[in-house]
Amino acid sequence: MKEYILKRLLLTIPTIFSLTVIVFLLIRLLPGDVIDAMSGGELSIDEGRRKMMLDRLGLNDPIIVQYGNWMKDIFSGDLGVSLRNAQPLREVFLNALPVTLELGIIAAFIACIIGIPMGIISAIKPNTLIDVFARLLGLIGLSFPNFWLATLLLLFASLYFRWIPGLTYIPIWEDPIGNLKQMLLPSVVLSFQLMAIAMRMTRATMMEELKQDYIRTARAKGLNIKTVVNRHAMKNAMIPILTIASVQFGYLLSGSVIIEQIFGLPGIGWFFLQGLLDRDYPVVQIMALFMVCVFVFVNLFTDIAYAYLDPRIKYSVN
Amino acid sequence: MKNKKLLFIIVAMSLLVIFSSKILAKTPKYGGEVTWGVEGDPSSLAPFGILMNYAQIGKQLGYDSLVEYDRDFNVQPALATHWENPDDRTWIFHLRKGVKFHDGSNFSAEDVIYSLTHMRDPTDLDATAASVDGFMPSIESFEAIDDYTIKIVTPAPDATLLGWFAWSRWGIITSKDFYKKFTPSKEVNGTGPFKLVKYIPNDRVVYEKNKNFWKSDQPYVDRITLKIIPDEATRIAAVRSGAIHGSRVSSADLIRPLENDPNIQIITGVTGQTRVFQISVKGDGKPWNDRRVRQAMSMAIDRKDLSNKIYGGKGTLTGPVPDAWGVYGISQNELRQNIYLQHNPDMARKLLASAGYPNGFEISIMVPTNQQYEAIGQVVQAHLAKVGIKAKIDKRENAQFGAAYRDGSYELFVNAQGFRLDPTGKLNHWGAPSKAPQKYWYDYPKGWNDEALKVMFDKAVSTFDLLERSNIIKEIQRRVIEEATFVYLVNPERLDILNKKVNNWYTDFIDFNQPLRTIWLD
Repeated sequence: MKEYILKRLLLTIPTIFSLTVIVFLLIRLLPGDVIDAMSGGELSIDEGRRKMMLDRLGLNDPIIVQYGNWMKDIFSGDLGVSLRNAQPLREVFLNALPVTLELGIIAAFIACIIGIPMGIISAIKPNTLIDVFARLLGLIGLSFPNFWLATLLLLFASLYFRWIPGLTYIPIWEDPIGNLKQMLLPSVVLSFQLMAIAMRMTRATMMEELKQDYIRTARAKGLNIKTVVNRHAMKNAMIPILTIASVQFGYLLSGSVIIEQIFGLPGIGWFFLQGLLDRDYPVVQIMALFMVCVFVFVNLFTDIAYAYLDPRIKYSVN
Repeated sequence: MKNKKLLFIIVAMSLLVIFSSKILAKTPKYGGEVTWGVEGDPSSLAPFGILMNYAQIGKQLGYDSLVEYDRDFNVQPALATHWENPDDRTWIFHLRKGVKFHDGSNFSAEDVIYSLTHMRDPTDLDATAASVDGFMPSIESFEAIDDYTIKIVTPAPDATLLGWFAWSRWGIITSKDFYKKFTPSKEVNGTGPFKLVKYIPNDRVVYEKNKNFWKSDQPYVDRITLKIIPDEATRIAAVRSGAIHGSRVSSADLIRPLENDPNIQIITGVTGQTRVFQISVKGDGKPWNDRRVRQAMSMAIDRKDLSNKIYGGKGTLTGPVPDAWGVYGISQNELRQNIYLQHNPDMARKLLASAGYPNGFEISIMVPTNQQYEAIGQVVQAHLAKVGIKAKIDKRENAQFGAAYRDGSYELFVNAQGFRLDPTGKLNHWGAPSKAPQKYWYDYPKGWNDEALKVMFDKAVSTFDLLERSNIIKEIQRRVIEEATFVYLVNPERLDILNKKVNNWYTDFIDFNQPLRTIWLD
């Protein structure tokens, strides 16, 4: 197992490296550059000045030199500076990271503590009122876009309670209560889809497991349904749930552009989008690299968790 | 008798209460904190360079210029108390004494020299600071005569210089060596009514009252926070809930439910943001080099329908210079009479036929990826289809749009031309080519050219007499509308929703939230 984890960890290095190359090149393939984004459709910049600006920003350097400079910034830990406003990206990134992480973690937590038990109950008591309710909720969670839900909730809260969550981000270490008040509504909205997925997946796999012979045997020897579910069915049902949920969790952790913008939360997703629109290559690169790392490590964690949940799984280390 | 006396006293007291409350209501109150919703991140607060409008919204509270526009759009003294013109090329500005920058240093002529040097050519300051070609008036030389007197000489008579400073978008005054002593993108050192506390990108810009502001009775509020909220529905919900004091909104439909809200006031008015079709000429110039085609397009467009569908009926007819721009705009009455702005599809079809396009032709309209502009494209697409012009909508996000604008790889695009320093800034597409921000039309091989207009433009720039100047500017506009060199669509009203506690807000023609400098709270 240790050897497997080590090998998987080593494999992440070429994966992340190749993804940095792809991200680096893809953003440069988009038409327009940071100067076009700044000048828009109203201003014009003399060609000579434009060239000088591109020279200074290092955008006229050979592509390999630009990539080398980026790697230098990454390994030195300062992450480079924004082309648009010369802000140090280490600071920008470290400010945005807690917002996104907190939002993602709270959303995932809400989704799991509601979605999984609801799926289990729904599987144990199929076609009852509670099952119908859970399935309906699952359908809503999957089909209603979260921006719509967010706008609706804000409209409702502002219209009937003259209240909306605080718009100025309060770090959790400054005011934990204020922070939670602010993060709860966006996290609930963000959790809806994952909650629905977790519920539906749990229900489906649990129903499948409950039909198995070993469950029948367990019931036949006199174990009650609670013990059967908790001790036997649950562990086996968790593998597909974990697979789907971890990918979704990856999405949550890598930032939600829309939710962040609607609730005015300056997180990774917002910076990524802004960087993309501004053609601020270093911003996009660093945010994309973070997202890549999130997915690589979430997948790694999922693979390792498989072995824990199902000891029959043996990994080939060759 | 006694009763009469009592009645008199009651009436007198009531009148006193009524009048004093009226008087009190108009007296600004000091104190309070304001949070204002803005649509986009300033990105940088640097004083010079090609920074877009959110940058100006983010920094204008901290900076001043030599002169400023008042709410009635007259140029008023600011850091210069008065000025004179010994001849028509020379400007002598007398600077205000006793003004302090936010860092406590004294304002003097050397700060103006530093600022003038870098607003003219900011390229030595930082990598993204490029000068604003096409807008800044030409300056031959400038010098400090003494600590509080500045002399500026223009190469030719130029009446736009005051407008450049009053606009203040790229003409603000900062302290000497600002770029060496401060971090320009996130620090401010001006003389404005508010001092920057902090700027957190994509979150907020916080200002506090400058107690040493040179207008000793201003500002009124203690603190202003500009909260960045790109989502319009959130901004509206935030005003409704009281989380923010006000914000601009673009959709008349979205604010209709707020009209009866007892806590909210809606203020509308005209700004200098004309919506326009700009044309690019490529290759042999066809079909746009034939003015009948351009006129047909202009007459095919139903501007009233456009205004109703997109701006809730709050869009007025416009030429290059909006009619609300002092004496320079053509009146709504005259614009309504102008046959080239009237919806006349029959005439449009005839003009197309006479130009050799009886069955119309196909065009591509570039629009920025923005709900409002996409909607303009779609409405106009339907209008043009009725006269046989088949338009395809080509959506481009900002950088793509900018790149296409730069290299001319578009045919037509929908744009909003914001306020510019001076009415001639709205006409510079037709003036000296060196000033034209868009080169793929004017003077382009086989494009459109009008020597007489060029002469008129130069005269408009160099004429100081207001009446004479306004006549020339109106004449240029009439010619541009008739030639349909660009097709002017509508000028939508700006909509602001505010908490009723906010006083002294007005629709700012320049459109950079200038009224925030003087608002006060009940």
